[in-house]
Amino acid sequence: MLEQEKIIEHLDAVFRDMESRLNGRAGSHLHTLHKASFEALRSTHFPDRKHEDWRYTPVQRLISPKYKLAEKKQQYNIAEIPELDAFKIPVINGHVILDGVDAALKSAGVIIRPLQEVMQISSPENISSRWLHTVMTTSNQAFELLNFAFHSGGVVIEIPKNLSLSKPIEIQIIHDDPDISFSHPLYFIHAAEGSNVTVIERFEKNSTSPDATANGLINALAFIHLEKNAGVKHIRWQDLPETQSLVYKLAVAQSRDSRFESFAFDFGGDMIRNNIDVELDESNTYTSLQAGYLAKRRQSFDHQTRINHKMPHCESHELYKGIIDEQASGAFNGKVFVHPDAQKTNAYQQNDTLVLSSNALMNSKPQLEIYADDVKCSHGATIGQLDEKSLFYLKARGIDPQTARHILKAAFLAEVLDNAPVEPLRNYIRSRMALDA
Amino acid sequence: MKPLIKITDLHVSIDGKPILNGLNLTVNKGEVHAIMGPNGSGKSTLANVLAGREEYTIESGTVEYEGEDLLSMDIDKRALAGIFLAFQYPVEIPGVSNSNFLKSIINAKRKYQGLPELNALEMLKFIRAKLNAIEMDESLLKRSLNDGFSGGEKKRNEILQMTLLEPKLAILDETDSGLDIDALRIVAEGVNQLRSPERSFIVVTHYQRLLNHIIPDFVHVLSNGKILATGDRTLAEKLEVEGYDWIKESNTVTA
Repeated sequence: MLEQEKIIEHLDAVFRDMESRLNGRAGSHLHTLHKASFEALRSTHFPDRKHEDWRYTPVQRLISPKYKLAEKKQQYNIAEIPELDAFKIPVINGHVILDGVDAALKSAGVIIRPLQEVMQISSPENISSRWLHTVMTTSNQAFELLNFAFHSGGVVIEIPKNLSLSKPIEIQIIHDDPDISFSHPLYFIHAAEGSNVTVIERFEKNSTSPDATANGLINALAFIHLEKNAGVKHIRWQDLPETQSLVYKLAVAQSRDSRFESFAFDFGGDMIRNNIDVELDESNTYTSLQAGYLAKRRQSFDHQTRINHKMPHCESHELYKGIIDEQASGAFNGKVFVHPDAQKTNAYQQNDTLVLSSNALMNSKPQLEIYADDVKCSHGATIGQLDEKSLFYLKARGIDPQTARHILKAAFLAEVLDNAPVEPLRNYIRSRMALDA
Repeated sequence: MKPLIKITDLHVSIDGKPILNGLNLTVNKGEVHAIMGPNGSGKSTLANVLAGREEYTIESGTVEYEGEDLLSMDIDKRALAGIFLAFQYPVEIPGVSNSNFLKSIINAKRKYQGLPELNALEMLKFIRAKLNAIEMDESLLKRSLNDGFSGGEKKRNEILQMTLLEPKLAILDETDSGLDIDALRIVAEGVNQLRSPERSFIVVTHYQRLLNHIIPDFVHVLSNGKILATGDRTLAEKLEVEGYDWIKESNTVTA
């Protein structure tokens, strides 16, 4: 059982410590929101296993009553992805390092502003500002509120109307503190009408720091808002040290004729909780969510997706493929809601898993809730092992058993990886997979 | 001369059902042996047991390969030691590119031989040279291993692998099944190009027609898990005309 009171008491102390260091900024608009979010968190319990969506994630392993806020840090070094030319945005211990943001991004026309600056724009015409206020004042999810209460100033990335960005944006997220700590990255991406952008989120360790493997939790929140006819490709790559956990939430809102494709690859970390919520607010949208993951040791990977089809003629696809080995566990809980107005919806959901050890565990639950009558929807799940005939074929050609197994594991995940954009990143992930043979 | 492989009184079963019942076969270097026989006689079992397929149970008997106990060798070690099975039904593996697979098997063998791995360019050159010999389209390299290949393309891909690995003992398991006459000719030519005094073949087939292209030194007739007759290529021709019934009725024949 989770000791809610003990945790809230601890968080209260962390919050007061944070306030004491605000140094004159205590009255800022942002801090007002911090306080409101913390008050909301007090009355919102952290979920436990009785909560259907949290049955397979032991929250007590995620939220320790020992966490302090990870300190701000300017020194970082994240290994370059060979041949990847991208606009970099570093996020260290939850702090967006604005000085480290690629200057070329600005000259390409992208507007990057601190969250507090955007939130102070009171004009109702400013979509980002209006949207931020709505999001931050209506959430009732404990981990979201935790982020809103403790984040150290997020960033708003605005892709102007009709701009097609030539290179991907690479958001580099690291958690690096000598103490047991948590950090709360927060970013909003606003793709204006007709714009196109590829966003890479890299969760990796600080390759030069001795503290890079300290215990910690990254509680990240990402928001992507697609205006009319915008296109966003999103790839999240996670290879954290095995001492760190990640609670990740991506909320997507799509306007008419927009296209959103998301790919998630999880290899590292301890407990990984992924939530993707997609709101299809208007018609004729396209959404694709795909993931490939390999869980070993005692890792726990939990994927939760929710796609809300509210309007007609929207199409959504989900393909989640995972390998669960050793004592690891995995969960997939995919929900697709088709509302009464969402006629001509086309929704497809698939979760395939290889469970490679008798101590490994997978829980798969694809769900459709359909309230319209003229729709095309399907869902499915498979659980299996490596194919013995294929293993024999490879070994009969002189390939040793361990390599043969690795080839088949990589082949299983290749379906998702081959679909992902940005070739240098695909190659990087492939070579990382090779180390896991 | 010491035989390349010597099978002595081999008894094999699957799920408790006996398949091979005291099979004896000796193959010397450079020889081509055809194994013929009706369906269910144990031809494919013999081929698969030699390659190391795990579903079979060895009840008794021995197999000596280059003087070593073959039955105690791991599957991959048998391949590295020079045994190649051309599969009757090559496995489709989506997600593994054919070219990467070929690179892996070539480098696995080179590593075993203590040779340096080939780089990408050397590899491509090496594979291309062999492709032409069996009239195989280079586009098949980019596709997933055997995935969606036609029957003929799969068998050609088997022969390509055999050509690349240069085995000491090649076992062809009904390589002719499902092939049209042109594909059969190309596959047979691929095999004939590899014939050498240093290389032996066991050609398992149901029909005589493959043996018009690959001329065997010996023809064995397998029935009920035993070799009942051994002869030269004329035995195959006799089987084509008279069928298998005459052998079943008589006892062991040496033609």
